Amino acid sequence: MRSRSALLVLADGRLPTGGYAHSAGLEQAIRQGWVTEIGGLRDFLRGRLHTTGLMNAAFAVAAWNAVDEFMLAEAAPARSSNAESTSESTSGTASTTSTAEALLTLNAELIARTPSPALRRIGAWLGTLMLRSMRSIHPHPLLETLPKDLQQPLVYGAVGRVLGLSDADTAATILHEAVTGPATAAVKLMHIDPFQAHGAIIDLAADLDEAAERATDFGRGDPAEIPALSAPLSDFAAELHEGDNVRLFAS
Amino acid sequence: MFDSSLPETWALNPTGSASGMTCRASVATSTDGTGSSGRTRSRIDGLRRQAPLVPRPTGASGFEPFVDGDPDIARVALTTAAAGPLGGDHYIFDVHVGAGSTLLLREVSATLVLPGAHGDPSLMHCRVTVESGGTLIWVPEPVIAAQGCHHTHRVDIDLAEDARLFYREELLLGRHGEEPGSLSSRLNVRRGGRALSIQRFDLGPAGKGFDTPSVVGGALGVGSVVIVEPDGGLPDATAIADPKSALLPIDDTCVQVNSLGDDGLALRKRLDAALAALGEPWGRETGWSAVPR
Repeated sequence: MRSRSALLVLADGRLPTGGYAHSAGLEQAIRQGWVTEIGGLRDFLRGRLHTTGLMNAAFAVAAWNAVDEFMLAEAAPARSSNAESTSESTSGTASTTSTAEALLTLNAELIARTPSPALRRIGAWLGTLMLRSMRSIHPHPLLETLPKDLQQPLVYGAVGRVLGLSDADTAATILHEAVTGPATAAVKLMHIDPFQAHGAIIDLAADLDEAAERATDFGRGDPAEIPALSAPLSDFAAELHEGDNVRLFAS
Repeated sequence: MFDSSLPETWALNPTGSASGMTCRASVATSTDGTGSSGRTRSRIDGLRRQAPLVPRPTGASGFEPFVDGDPDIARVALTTAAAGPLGGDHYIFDVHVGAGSTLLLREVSATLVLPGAHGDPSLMHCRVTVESGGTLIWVPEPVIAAQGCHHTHRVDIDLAEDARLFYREELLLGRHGEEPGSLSSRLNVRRGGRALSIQRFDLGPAGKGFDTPSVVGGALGVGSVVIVEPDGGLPDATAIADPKSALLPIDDTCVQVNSLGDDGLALRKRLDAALAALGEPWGRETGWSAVPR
């Protein structure tokens, strides 16, 4: 079960992809007094997973499916090794171009759903970090052909595909990260212990599973119909946090 | 168990809706020579009404974003000739701003969405096209989600590359002191077919996690403004006057304002303040006025 092990690696917070430096707006939400105790944290996580988390997971699923043509073209030469090298490279280039175009269209759709410039910058930066580390961790031709500055969920989709995960598991990974990131940050930011923080995550298990299913359905459909699921307080928190000089987390 | 979820996509069915009535109305404008101001004059050349949606030509009143007092633009006020939308109702409102013309669209009253007898889902779908060089200024009154409603409010705006837009939206969760109904508000602004500003607020009982500190918290008013100005000149940096309101640049020619309020008045004040800070021609510091907005 290669994909099960790969899933656990991708979802592991210890995977060095830069996410540990971010609290997903929780630090600022605490500073603003919007989150003050464990109940508030639980609410914060629930809101995040059903909005930003679900939307990002849907875009990861869309990216996973958008790289289909490239992955099939990659697999093709192995099956027909007698084919002329020229036609191979031509079809390879064509699939590279159309895959890049599809990803850029998805990126534009995701950016249009991300009104906060701070969150767009963070998304592109985390995407860059993830791509950079995954190129070393698990080199693959697809990772060499991704357009620059893709938002992180799209890189997640491509990485999930390369690691042999299903699109639904890739969605679940994003949703897992959407709550574990701020929940583990909470331990450093609030007077709660790690048991409470992880208790909050476990309490959300059914919500996470349901959101992953919805995200998978949306991601397999028309990208233009992926819901924007706006979270204005998260947008405000990201913008306020950028202007804050004293901060523990980058976002 | 009652399914409180809102339909994801609702096929546009001109012959009937879930259980209530179907209504279609439309407005179209085009250019009509040169007006007294020396600028292009716009005229209304299509106005289709079907109660409860009744668009009426109207005159200038109060502060008008971008077109303030311009005598040569087309002005239409949308009136509701009967209660609604009620549960099961299905409204379609089409707006077509022809090349080079300017339309200011307002509403006479707020839209109060009621559950009707059976609490079936209701839909208001606005389909808007703004052609090359056209300008749409749309300042609707609030959409109020009364207890028990299951309403989808969808606004699709397709802009030509050089079209101009001012769109304002105020969503209120319940009437005063009332638990809110479910409201899914979806705004899709596309330019040249490409996504520009896309928002969706799933609020009330069907909006999972909406009342949390990462989404809208305890706010009962959720509002936004989208401004598209092809000539540029919009701010390129975020302006965040207070923690519940922000002006967010989308690109060189588009900004979005998002605000929350504990009630409708607080929301309106925050949106007005953000627009006043943006300055002319989009907003102005206004004191009390007997003329509403």
